Amino acid sequence: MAGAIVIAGSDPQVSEHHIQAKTTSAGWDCWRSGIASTPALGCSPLVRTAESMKRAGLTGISILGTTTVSEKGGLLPSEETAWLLAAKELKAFQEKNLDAVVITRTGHYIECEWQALLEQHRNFGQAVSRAFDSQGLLDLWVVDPRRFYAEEDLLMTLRVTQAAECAVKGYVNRLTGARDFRRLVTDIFSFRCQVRPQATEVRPGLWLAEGTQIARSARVVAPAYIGYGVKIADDCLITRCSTVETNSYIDFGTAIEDSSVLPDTYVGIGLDLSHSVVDGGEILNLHHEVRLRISDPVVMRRLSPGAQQDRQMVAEMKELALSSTEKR
Amino acid sequence: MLTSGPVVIMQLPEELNVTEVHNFMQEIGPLLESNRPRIVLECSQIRSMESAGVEMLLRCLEEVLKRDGDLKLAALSPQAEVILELMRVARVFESFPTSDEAARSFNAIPADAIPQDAPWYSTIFGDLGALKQAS
Repeated sequence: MAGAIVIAGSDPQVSEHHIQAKTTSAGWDCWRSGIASTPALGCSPLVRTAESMKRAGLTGISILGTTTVSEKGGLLPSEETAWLLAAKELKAFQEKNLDAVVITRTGHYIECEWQALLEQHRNFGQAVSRAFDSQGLLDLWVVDPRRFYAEEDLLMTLRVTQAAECAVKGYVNRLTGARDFRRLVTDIFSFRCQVRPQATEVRPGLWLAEGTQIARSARVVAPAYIGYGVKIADDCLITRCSTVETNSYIDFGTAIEDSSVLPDTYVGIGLDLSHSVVDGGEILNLHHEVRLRISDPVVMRRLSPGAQQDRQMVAEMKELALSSTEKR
Repeated sequence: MLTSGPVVIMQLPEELNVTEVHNFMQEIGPLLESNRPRIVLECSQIRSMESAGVEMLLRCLEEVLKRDGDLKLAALSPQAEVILELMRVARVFESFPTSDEAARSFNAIPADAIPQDAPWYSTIFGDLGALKQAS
């Protein structure tokens, strides 16, 4: 029997260098409280990781971190808090007598055969195994809760504990910034990873979710993804691995090229959006490497409060965690 | 305001919102009404620009072209570049890496195009040739 703890980390560097975390908290990489929780073609890497674990038969999946709901219904902001909760969760797994627990931080997105990883860990016979890929160590461990115990700082304990090293041969994206996020999107389109868009492929490379409204004169050229409830007005052009996520609205005559429009975003009339990630009134332009806030609501704006999106994701993850707990 | 011969170089403010646009238009207004205005707008300070800012740039360009002048942008900040590209006006303006280069570009012949050992009258003929080509 094996369980899993998924930490919704905001940045792979955050806990490695606590001081850096404070200085970079408003920077490029920590945008939108963690790229791993940002939807890419209908679903966030965080939820995809949890789902793949569920499919692999992991019996209990706890998702902790920036999206953990506090008692008052707010979101717990600190990753350190998440690791404290993870230590408690690990103790709970110990009481349930599980022989292995996967602990991962979705600051990066990893596709691996979970059962093979567990088997590798069991064969090593050590209390802790840590995964690595061609670029180095990953924040992915398998621990034996009966032999491994951390009082408070679970992450630090994991890092200093002598661990067996398990190679991950699947797709790995460290998601260190918007550029990596866009790379994940293009990798999904070109089938370089196992992720498939949450939509129907109406034509090769053209994915449309339910409830989309595309005007007759608008052109959506593959590869492209249009999410649930998206409206594309007349004379728009969506092309070159662009994604328009849930409930966004692209207004008349706008061209979107090699860009991602995140959920609930309004993109105004006659614009030319390229090499960018847009979230509400914010643009991250990868070509100029600049982050820009658009204060003009006629140009860009959020269509509904951002918290709604987070609440929806929390609900999704709660559901996922509950269904996996029921299996225990 | 800096002037370099007949070319006027002006610096745009950090934020080009409605208020700043209003203030800037009051400053640049008399210049736009002069004969053949030659203006360089230095954009290195721009951090954010609303649609009013883009509209102002287009209006300035329209006014100077009406009076047979020209308006050029210099030292565009990445933020300004993103906004101009987003609003599809980046190609409307001639832009240069520095305001000096933008100011020099108003001359028909670049100084380094004339050989140093050329006779004194070659510059005059050069200018006339350029004028002929322009006409």
